[in-house]
Parts: sequence; structure tokens; C-alpha cells
Amino acid sequence: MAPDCPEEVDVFTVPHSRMKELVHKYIDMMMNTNFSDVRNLTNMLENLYNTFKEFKTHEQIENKYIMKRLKDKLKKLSIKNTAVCNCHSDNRLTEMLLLVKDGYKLTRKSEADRMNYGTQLRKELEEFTEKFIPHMEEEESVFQPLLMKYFTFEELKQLKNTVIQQHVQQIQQKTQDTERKIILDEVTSESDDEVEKYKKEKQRTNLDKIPDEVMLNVFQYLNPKELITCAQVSHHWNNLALDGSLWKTFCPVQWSKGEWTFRPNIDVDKEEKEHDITKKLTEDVTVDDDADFDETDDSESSDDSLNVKQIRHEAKMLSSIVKNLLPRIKTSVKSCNLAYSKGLTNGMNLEELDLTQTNISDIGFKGFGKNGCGKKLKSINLSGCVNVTDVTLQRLCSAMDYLPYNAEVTVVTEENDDEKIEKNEIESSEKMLGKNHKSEKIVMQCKNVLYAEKNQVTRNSYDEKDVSTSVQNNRVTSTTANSELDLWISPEVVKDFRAYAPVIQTVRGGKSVMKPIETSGIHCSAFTEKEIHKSLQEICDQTETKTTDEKITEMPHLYSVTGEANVMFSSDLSNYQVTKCCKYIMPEWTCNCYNLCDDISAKLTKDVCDTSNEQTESPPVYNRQLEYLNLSGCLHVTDNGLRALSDNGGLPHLQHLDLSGCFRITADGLTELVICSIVTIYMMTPSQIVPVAVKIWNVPHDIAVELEIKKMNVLLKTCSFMNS
Amino acid sequence: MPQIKLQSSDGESFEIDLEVARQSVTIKTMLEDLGWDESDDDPVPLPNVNAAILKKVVQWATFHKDDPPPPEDDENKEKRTDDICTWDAEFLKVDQGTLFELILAANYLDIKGLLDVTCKTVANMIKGKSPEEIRKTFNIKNDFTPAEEEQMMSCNCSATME
Repeated sequence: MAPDCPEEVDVFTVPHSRMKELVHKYIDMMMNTNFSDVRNLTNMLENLYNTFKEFKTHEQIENKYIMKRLKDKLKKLSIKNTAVCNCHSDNRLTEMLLLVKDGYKLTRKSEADRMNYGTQLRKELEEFTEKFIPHMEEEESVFQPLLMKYFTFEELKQLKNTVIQQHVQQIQQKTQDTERKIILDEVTSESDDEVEKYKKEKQRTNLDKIPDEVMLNVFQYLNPKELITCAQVSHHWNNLALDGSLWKTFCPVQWSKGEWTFRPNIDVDKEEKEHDITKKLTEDVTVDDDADFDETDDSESSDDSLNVKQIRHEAKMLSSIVKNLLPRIKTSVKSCNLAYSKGLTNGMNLEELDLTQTNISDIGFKGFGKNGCGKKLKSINLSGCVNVTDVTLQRLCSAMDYLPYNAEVTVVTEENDDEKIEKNEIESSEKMLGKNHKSEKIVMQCKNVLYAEKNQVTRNSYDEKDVSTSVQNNRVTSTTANSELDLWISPEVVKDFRAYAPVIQTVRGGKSVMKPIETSGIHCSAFTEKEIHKSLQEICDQTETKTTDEKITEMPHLYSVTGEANVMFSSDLSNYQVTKCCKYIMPEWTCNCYNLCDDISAKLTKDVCDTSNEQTESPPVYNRQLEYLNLSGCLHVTDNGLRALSDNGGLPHLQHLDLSGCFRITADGLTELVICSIVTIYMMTPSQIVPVAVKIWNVPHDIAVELEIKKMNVLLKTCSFMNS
Repeated sequence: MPQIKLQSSDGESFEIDLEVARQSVTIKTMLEDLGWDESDDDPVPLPNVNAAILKKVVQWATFHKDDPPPPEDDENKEKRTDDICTWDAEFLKVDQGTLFELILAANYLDIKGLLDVTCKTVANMIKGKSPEEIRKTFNIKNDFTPAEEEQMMSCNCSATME
């Protein structure tokens, strides 16, 4: 207390004596509180809470009525006093109140936690007291003299009255202050509840006592959605609910449809329905690589837009599931079911399918490839999928061979009336070339087209230079002549097709389409499928507006040669469009179909000629892109499955085939496939591989020709590996 | 019918039919290992089960003594929780503590039927609840940090939305 201060003007001492009393009270209280006793602790916390509230009120009054006035006065008199400026900015009352509030939460915690809290509270209180007492003393010894210096006696007397009045008012208000009372009531009643609850808890067994393996037993009755909910309950539950043992089957597709079950849905009716929907959707929706939807038909019915929403939802959920859930459970997923995925069936972009060591069975592939999603499959890894049988291979093949509306992919060799090229001449030249190297065939075909257009290139010159020249010549002609020409050229013919990109662009400008073919890893970026798609669309649209007679001359020429020759009809995107085009072709212009896979090229060349002569329908051209196939450990796969692979043109791009452990596959099945395509075969038993090789070596000359040296080398290498 | 004496953790003895007791794989194995025969009069000690719970377990086992043995778990079969029989449902209308103790007892005594039905009951208590409701039901503390919760929300909202 300031020594020379008359009582009437001492604004601090009266309230301070109350505060000091409170300080002594809580110090006492701290000494006597047993933190392990919940009731005792709660009472103490309640008292502490009230005490600090009162401290806070006191400080607020002091700030508002004394310090503010003092500051104002000093400001008016332009006197700077650092003590005034710094004072009252630092008090820890709010912090202390929060700490006390924290204490309430501890009533439901363990004794050790409460003891810890007690230690912490004691320490904090000591620190607080250490500062609070000097703080009050400072007020009395520093500010009281200041007040007396700058304020009149009467002013101070009035100030003291106001301050005391405020304190009294606040205390009265405290009891009436309904709001605060409610808060306090809440806190106390809650803590009462907590105490009772805690006492009950202590007696009864709670969930914590249940061992994890039993909790997993409980969780096995929950569906994926419920498990995801459980994972959000607590850390412990998160670990339990995402335990691998609960996620052995993984059916994200049906989950995305709201069918939250671990059992693959195999409802046949549903399949039919889905099929119709997806069929419809192919017409309306184009999906890009990221499964984002960039092109939807504006005029689609509401029914379709609902489906679009569904697909979008599925795509979103799939990506979320894959991103967030799968990493947690991936090691345990034993069965992955993607059947009926709308996103997948419409994606058309699935290139890699890795189902290694999964329990996926034939059912998983049911409906797979609808709408052509498997056409681009480049890599299939089914190693260790013991449930996979021939049916899966057949389904995969049909997915790769997918043709909308079962349309026969057609290659149009059309004679251009203007150029008067005789069909028979072309055919005879093809016959003549039947046994020659494939690239010559391509050249020939390109020439035929060019010749048909330009009548400039001599038919007997087959070198690439000529072709390139022809292409360029053709550009001029087709641009100026406004002729319709689709030309599919392989990079083998025109080595660097990029160089011709402008050429082709120009040609397209002249309503012709030339497409470099993606083969053997040479990718011509000049043309995107979309462009081709668009061009075809344009052509078709134009065609539709013409009368039947006119259409004939307007038709695009579509050339396709599949197989090693590396020129192929890129059926991926445009089959549908081609079919559409073909609808307008008169019967006498029946499309001829080329399927020049090297395995059966001789036969097919003959076929082509035959069919050309007869002008009948030809076998469809398939375009399997598969480069990698791993069937190791697929015990149930037999020759029949391999036959499905070697049928319809085989796998011309296959570079890696792993059949290790497929002991039911024999040399017979293998030979067929090998003759078709195999480049590298891994890890087969000698009993499987040797007869193949022997057979191949022993085959008559004409079949040996079909096999390139490269393949034989590989076979030989494999054999020697086996022998060693 | 041969009888057997079981002794609870708090020392109470229960004399029950051997057939009833043999539903517990633990007791069954114990008897086989001990070479127990009918003349044996020593009670089988069950130090992990108190009298109140043991009484309930015996009650359950007596009612179900003629049940066919529960089928082995089939991975491909959907796990249902709506197939609890009426008697069991009534029997399990107990407070949470008792239910959990029954689970513990069923687990310890290795009584598959009782374990299944009690677990199903707990599963039903979880079904259809939000994480917060689950916490409240089982008095589980939410020990996720706000940041973790935030992250979980953003991850799960798209995964769980219908």
C-alpha cells in the first residue's frame, strides 16, 4: 500500500484486499485438494473457476475506470510514462481460466491423468500468484501516486466510489447473471454426470476390455460403408476397421453404386439392364483418359444424363477409394471385382490390368469389355489368379475384339470411278505379292490407293520413296480434287511420319483422312484419335445428307492391314463410324476385308482375293493390342484358353508371355499361339516348349517363312535355357 | 445324464449337464486333456468368468444344447446380423457391461454360437450410426486431432456419399 495515501482517495486497496483474500483461499485449497478424488477435484475446480472469473472482472474494472482515465489524462498532458503503457497488457487470467476448464474434462480420465493435471495446476497457480501479488503491489505503489499527482482529491474520491460500486455490482450481477449461471450450471451438472458415469464405468466392463480379435469378429458383420464410418471413431477403431482381414474382397464398382456389400453382385437381370444402359451410353458419352467427361451429347435424354451422373459418381468414388482406402488395405485384398463398372466399360482406355495374386475369377470378367473398354489392353497380369479359367481368357479376348453392334470391321478397297482402276488389277497384284514381304504389301496397297487417286505412280515400283512421293502428290490432288480418301499408313512405310503431319493435315483439309498407325512402339503424335473420330464424323455427316447414288463416290476409303506388317486399321475409335459409313455403301460396293496377320497372311491374302471376287462379307479385322500377358500360376488355363487368344488374328503385338506353372497347357495350344505372335516366352517347362520348337523347325518351308527369324531365335534361346 | 461342476472366478459352483458344458471348446478340451471322468468330483475352475456371467452363459448354453454345431465361417457368405433368434434377442437385452462380459466369456470359453450372437448384437449397435453417435454409444474418446479429422472428412465424404 502506498504509504502517504489518504484512505478516501485510495482506489486500489479495497478491491485488492478482496483479491488477496481469494489468493490465500485458493492456495489453501490447492494444499488440501486430493486430485485422485473426482468429487474433491470438481469442487476445487469450481471454486477456482469462480475465483478467476472474479479476478478477471476486477482487472476489467480497473482497466476501464482507472487505467484508461489515467492514460487519457497523461495523454492530454502529453506526458509519457512507460509503466502506464506496459501495465495490464500482460495477465494470464484467460489462460488460467482455460486451464481450469481443461480440468473438468479430466473427471472421466484415469487417476494418473488427474494427478498429472494436479501437478501442472499447482505449478501454474504458483507462477500466477508470483506475478499477481506484485502486480497488485505495483498498482498501489506506482499508480496510486500517479493518480494523486494528476487527479484532484475530489476526482479520486469519486473514482474510488465508482470502482467499489462496480465491484459490488459485478458480484451481485454474478449471482443474477443468468448467462454465466447457465455456463456454470452446465459445467457443474456435466461434471456431475461425468462423475456418476465414471463411477459406473469403473464397475462395468467397457469396450476397451474387448480384445482386438473379438472386435474384428464384430466388424466382420459390417459392410464397407459402416467400416469406413467406424474408421472415423478413434485411432484404435481406425486400425481395427481398416484391418486387412476385413477387406479381402474389393468391389469398388458396386460400392460406388451404393451396394455396400463384400459379395460380388451376380444378378443376371441386372446385367441385362446394365448392358442396355451402357450400350446407350456409348453413343452419348466419350470419356477421356482421366475418366473426366468432356463430351456429352447436349440433347441426351434425362434418363441418360442420370446415367452420366452415375458414371461420374463412380469415377469419383473409384478414385477416392483407390487413393484413400486401397493403400491401407491393398496387401489384403484377395478378390477384386470390377464387374459392371460403367466407368470402365465406357472408359475404353484400360491399358493395364494387374490382378496379380487375386482371387478374381471368371465372374469378375463377366461384362468386362462391354463397349470396348478392353480394346486397348496392352498388359494383362493374372499371375497367381488360380481361379481364372479359359472362360476368363475368352472373355478377355472378346473384350479385346469388341465390335459395336457386332459390325464387321471393314476395309474398303474402292475403285475410284474417275481413275478407272480395275479392281481385278489390284487383286491380281495382291495375289502376285502374296508371298512377298509384308511391307511390300503395304506399299502396294498404298500405291493402289494413290494410284487410284492419281494414276501417277507405277504399280511395279514398291520402294518407300515412291510412296512418300505419292503421298505428297496425293495431297495436292486430294486437296484440289476434293476427293474422299482415307489412307492408313504405317510408319514403316513412311519412316518418320511426323514429317508428314502437315501433309496429312492438308489432306484432311481436303476431306480426306490419313492416319498413321500406332505400331511397334512408334507413335505418331500428329494425329489423335479424336481428330480421326471427328473427321470420320464429318464424312459421315456429309454422307448422310447425300442421296444414295452420290454417297458411293463420297465414301471414305478405309484401308487396314493388321499384324506384323504394322499397318492396321485402327478400329479403336472408328469401328462404329465405319459401320455407319458402310451403311450407305451400295451392295455392289461391298467392303472387302483384309486381315493380314502374319500367321495366316497367305491364307488371308487368298481369302481377300476370294472375297473380293465374290464380293461377299469377309471376316472382321481384329486389332489386339496386347503386349504383355502373364498367366503364371493360372492352373486352370488350358489349350482352349490359348486358342481363344490365337483365334481371330492372335496377338500380333505380344512381346511377353509368361505361362510358368500353367501345366495344363500343352505344346499344341502353344504352337498355335506361337505361330501367331509370340516374341518372348518365359519360363515354360521343356515338355511344353521343346515340342513347339521342334514342330516349328520341322514345319515345311511355307510355314517357316511365316515365322520371322527373330522369333525363332527367341525360341532357340528359350530352348537352350531349358536344356541348361 | 453326467453332470459337471464349474467354478466361477468368485468361487461359486455350478453343476450342469456335461453336454451343455461341452459347447465350450475350452471346457471340452480341458476335460479331454485332464482325462476327466464321471466319477471326478473336482469342479472345473474358470478364473476368467464371474458367477453372474457364468450363470447367463449356462442359461444360454442350456437353451441351445440341441442346436446343430454352428457352420464354419464361409468367406463368400454374406455376414448377416438380422438373423438373431427371438430368444437370443430377449436374452441379450442387458446393459452394455454385461453384454461385453458375455462376449469376453464366450471368447474365453470358446463358445462360437454365443460369441457370434453377441458380436452381431454389438454390430447392430454400430450399424446406421455416425462416428459421433458411435462414440457416444460406447463412450469412446475421440482422439483424432482436428487436423486428422479434417483430412478424414475430405477423404471420406466422397467415399461415403450416396
